[in-house]
Amino acid sequence: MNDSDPLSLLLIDDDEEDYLIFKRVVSKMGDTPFRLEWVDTPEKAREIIAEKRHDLYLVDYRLGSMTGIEMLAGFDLFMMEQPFILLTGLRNKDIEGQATRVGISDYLVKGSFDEELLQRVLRYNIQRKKSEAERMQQLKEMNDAKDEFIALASHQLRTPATAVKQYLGILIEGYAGAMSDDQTKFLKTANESNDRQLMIINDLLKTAQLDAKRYRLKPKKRSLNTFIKEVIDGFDSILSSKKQSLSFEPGDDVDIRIDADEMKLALVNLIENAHKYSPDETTIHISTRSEGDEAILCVRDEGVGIAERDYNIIFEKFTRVQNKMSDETSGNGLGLYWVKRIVELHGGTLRVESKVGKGTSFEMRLPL
Amino acid sequence: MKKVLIVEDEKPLRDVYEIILSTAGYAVETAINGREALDAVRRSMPDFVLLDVFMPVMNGLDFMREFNPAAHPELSVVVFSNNSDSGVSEEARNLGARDVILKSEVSPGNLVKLVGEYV
Repeated sequence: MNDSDPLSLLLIDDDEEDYLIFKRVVSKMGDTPFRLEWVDTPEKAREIIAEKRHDLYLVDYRLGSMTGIEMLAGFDLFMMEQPFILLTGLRNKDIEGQATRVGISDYLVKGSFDEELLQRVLRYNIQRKKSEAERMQQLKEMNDAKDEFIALASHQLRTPATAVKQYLGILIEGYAGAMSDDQTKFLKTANESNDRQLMIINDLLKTAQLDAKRYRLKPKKRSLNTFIKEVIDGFDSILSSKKQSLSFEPGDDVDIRIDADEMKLALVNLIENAHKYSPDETTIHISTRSEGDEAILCVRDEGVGIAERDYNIIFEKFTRVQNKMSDETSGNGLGLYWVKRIVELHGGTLRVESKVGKGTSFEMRLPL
Repeated sequence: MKKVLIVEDEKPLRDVYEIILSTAGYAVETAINGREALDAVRRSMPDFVLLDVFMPVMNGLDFMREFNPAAHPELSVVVFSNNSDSGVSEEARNLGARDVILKSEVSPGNLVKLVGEYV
């Protein structure tokens, strides 16, 4: 980056005096041509940030109705190429923590910087953010390559595992002559292991399918409540093993565009989780309602609950959180990842709320 | 003797389906892709076709487009699918497949039963 590159700065500050003082400092930065733009409300700031036409953003901590950090909620500063610098009137350890957690690159204390310090801070942060963005891109590509490898390997494992299943089947069912009891027993054990292997392979392949950039849903218009009734229809026998019951409290019916196969997979996973992580003789509550332009589907259990610090990681691939019931249950750690992906593919959002020891509620919001 | 045509590109699977169905008493012919399958049906019409979808040279769906199962009501085509190919089963049925089954759910017993239902 050479000295004559013009820098485009956006100052976000609700105080005009602050802007004029800042403008004066900037004007003293002789050797770097600059363009300083000023915006004074959080709403306008958000619009302009989204346009991404500046090299650097300076954000005042105090923005009237909210803090600068609150204004930035909804932007992923870590993934943006432009640095965000906080302007604060206080030297405050707590603000430092908040700022770094949301990805703010640096901060300046108002009234205590001159044009030399400002110039260095601006140029250094722009350089650093650029190389960080490159690094993030590299990491993202490595992650994509890893996912592609898993998909390819799973695909190649599927055929031989399927063949093993067939040949074991031939022996077990007597198509290659009579088997002794022991032989049949051992073959059945081998078959169970192989079936488990096939299940894992299919789970990995399903994950790869949901991850694929090219994957398109096939949505059709359906009555939400009718769809849910169809899905929960088959659950009585599974739930009876723990004497659990399922209660469906439908709201006013709405028609919604969903890919029935995928949404069924999502709903089944939520119900199975509720079943797994709830003790005997509890109820699983499913309800629907609509709010504005969204349909809301809620699955609530009376189970072991999820700690707030785990709210994000439960949706990650291959992650199962330890809790009182996790030793008795089996799972691949993919179910909630699938639910989240499927809801996102439908243009919706998924939220979780829980109280440890009381129960958990998953809320799907889908556009109508 | 009733005739079955198995269309499957993976040898281990093709062999095992042949073993199962010939032991069950069917005359079995095999093809490794859609094009070979077209040649086979033109040489001699089978009573049942077990059709894989993803094969090189010509896949199962293109085979059905060329062969047109609807024009041969005396024969049944059943398509194999893998779990992740969910859009395929609808297309297969539209093209004339009587049923679509998951490869992972096939066992010798239910394969023989399935063929028996159509032949």
